[in-house]
Amino acid sequence: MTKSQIYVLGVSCFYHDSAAALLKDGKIIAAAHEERFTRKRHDEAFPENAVNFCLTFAGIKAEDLTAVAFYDKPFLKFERILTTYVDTWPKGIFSWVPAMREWLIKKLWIKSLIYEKLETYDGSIYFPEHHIAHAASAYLASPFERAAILTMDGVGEWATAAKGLGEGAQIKLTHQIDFPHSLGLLYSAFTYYLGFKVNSAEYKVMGLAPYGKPRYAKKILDNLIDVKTDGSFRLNMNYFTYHYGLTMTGNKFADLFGAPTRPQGFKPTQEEMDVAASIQAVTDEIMVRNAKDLYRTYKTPNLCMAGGVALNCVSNGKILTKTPMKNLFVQPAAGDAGGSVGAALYVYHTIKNEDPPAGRAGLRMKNKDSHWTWETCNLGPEYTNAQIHKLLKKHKVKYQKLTREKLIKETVRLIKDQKVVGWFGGRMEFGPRALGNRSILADARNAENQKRVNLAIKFRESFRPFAPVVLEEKIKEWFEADWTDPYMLTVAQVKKKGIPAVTHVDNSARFQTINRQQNQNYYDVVHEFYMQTKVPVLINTSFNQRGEPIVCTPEDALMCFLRTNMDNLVIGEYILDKQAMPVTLIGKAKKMKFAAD
Amino acid sequence: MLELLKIAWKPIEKGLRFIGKIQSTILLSLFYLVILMPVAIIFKAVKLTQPKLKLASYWKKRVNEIETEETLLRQF
Repeated sequence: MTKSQIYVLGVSCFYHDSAAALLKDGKIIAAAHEERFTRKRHDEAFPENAVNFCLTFAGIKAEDLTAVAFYDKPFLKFERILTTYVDTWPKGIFSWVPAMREWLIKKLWIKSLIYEKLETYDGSIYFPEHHIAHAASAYLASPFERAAILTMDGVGEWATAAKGLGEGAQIKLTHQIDFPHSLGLLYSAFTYYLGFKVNSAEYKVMGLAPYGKPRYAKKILDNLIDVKTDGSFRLNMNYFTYHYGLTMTGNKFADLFGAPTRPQGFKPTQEEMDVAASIQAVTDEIMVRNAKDLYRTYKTPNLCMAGGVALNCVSNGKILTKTPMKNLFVQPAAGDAGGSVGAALYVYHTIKNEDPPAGRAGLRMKNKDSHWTWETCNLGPEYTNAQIHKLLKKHKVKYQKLTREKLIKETVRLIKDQKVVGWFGGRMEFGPRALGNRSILADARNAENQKRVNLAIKFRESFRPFAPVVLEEKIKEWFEADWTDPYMLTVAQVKKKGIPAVTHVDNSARFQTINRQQNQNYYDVVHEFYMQTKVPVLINTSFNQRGEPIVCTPEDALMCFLRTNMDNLVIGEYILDKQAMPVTLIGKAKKMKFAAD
Repeated sequence: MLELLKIAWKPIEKGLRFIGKIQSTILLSLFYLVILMPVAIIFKAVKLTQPKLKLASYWKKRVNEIETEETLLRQF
């Protein structure tokens, strides 16, 4: 390591999806979710494993770090919590004790805890605001020199949403909406009401919505939320309990919709689908109004978004089709995990990047030499063929070793033969989506594959749609989209028939575009499939089963392959056939259980 | 003897944790009921005196201080 190298470690933890990211001279070189290592979905613990991975990847020790950035200001958050308990007294009695215990034992001592975990690090620890971290994670990683910024999530310190402008290397958030008024928490309240897990299964509500009609949208707008023309909103807190209780909604909320809160695991009927469609329609409307207002204010077609709500790809698609915003950059790990990236970027640009080149109007420009634009989500650990081979030998597993070209041809042959293939190779993705390194691939032409992969492989609800991966050059031919999306963050209408397994009931799809620079092997598989079938689309879903984090190591991949009804596994340069797997090993793998999400 | 202590430590630790949980529950509940109550009453009374404004927008202006190393080091 040379003296001039600047390493900033970003950390997010203690709420959900804890993660760490490492910035080297302004570029993110490593980032990972803690859950991938601990195998505990949405793990909120201090990201010890993710931090270790980042440091090992860079070949440095904690003492070599220039700075450490945490993704929010804990004392401000504590102030909000105390104020809320005073405001809602005495209704908060039941949640007060567990919340305070957590704060007094752990969350108030984050600074000490970071020093304790990083043992040899004795530099400064910085605490940018939560929504500043979100804004930075999007804008400072975006390709824009000027862009409007919108962040929306459940809650940070006080803010639940913020907006402003990014110019040069500067971020100015001009406005915010404060807790308890939160679009993220409104969506989570509906997630809870429909019987899904909060902070985990919001995407299921989004997937359920197209099956329904938004016949409750007016009811929501009349009773639950007042939305202004500029997209700002205020919730009617009489209907909610999340600000003081251990639940999200109360009896009044249930009375409004004429049915009680559904128990977890409840099988959705048309009623639940209509409720889901209604909250999705309201969310879309709010996001579209905000995007339009930002365009009116800043006269820029560039928009950067982050925060959990920015992972709502249906709304993102609406922004691109219904507003003058033409260039949308959503940070692929837009939720709290991405806060680690934002905190590190913000600290680097604010504090450590002391001598950037001068830019227009005296603004500090993004440093062209060191400015990093988000180009890949492949920021996690990678495993060599030798490591994979060792594992296969250890478990006495039969495999075929093929050259790259043969491996691709064989994979395509299997997919064409209606096999479901696990696809493992390269660096693990950062963010909630598997984008071709930890994926399950199948033929999108066969409608049966949607049910098969859902029920027999992922063991999840049958209504859940699958996302397609499409060759970038074929996007306009197959989808109503004039943009590319390598991170699966937008939804568009499907133009052509023939890919029923990835076409949702409303004819939409949350697509991923791929070009050869982004991922050579993955691209070549889709391209070879196209050459043989004239369909440039495959099913791409994350390599995991319900309740399990996406696989990280070759061992995780092998066990998931054995546990589920996947037919084949392509792992590095090896290919495995389920038929040839040892029965005892399958039995061992099947003993692993994951809590339903 | 050391082995015996090691074996006994786990249930002792479990027991101590349980007692600690009960203690903290009592103390925190008392704090909530006795200390927070008067604060809450005053807070709510003051809140009632605030005029209810009809706002054109719910976006609230942020107070933006210039971000420096000093402000970033603060946890508040």
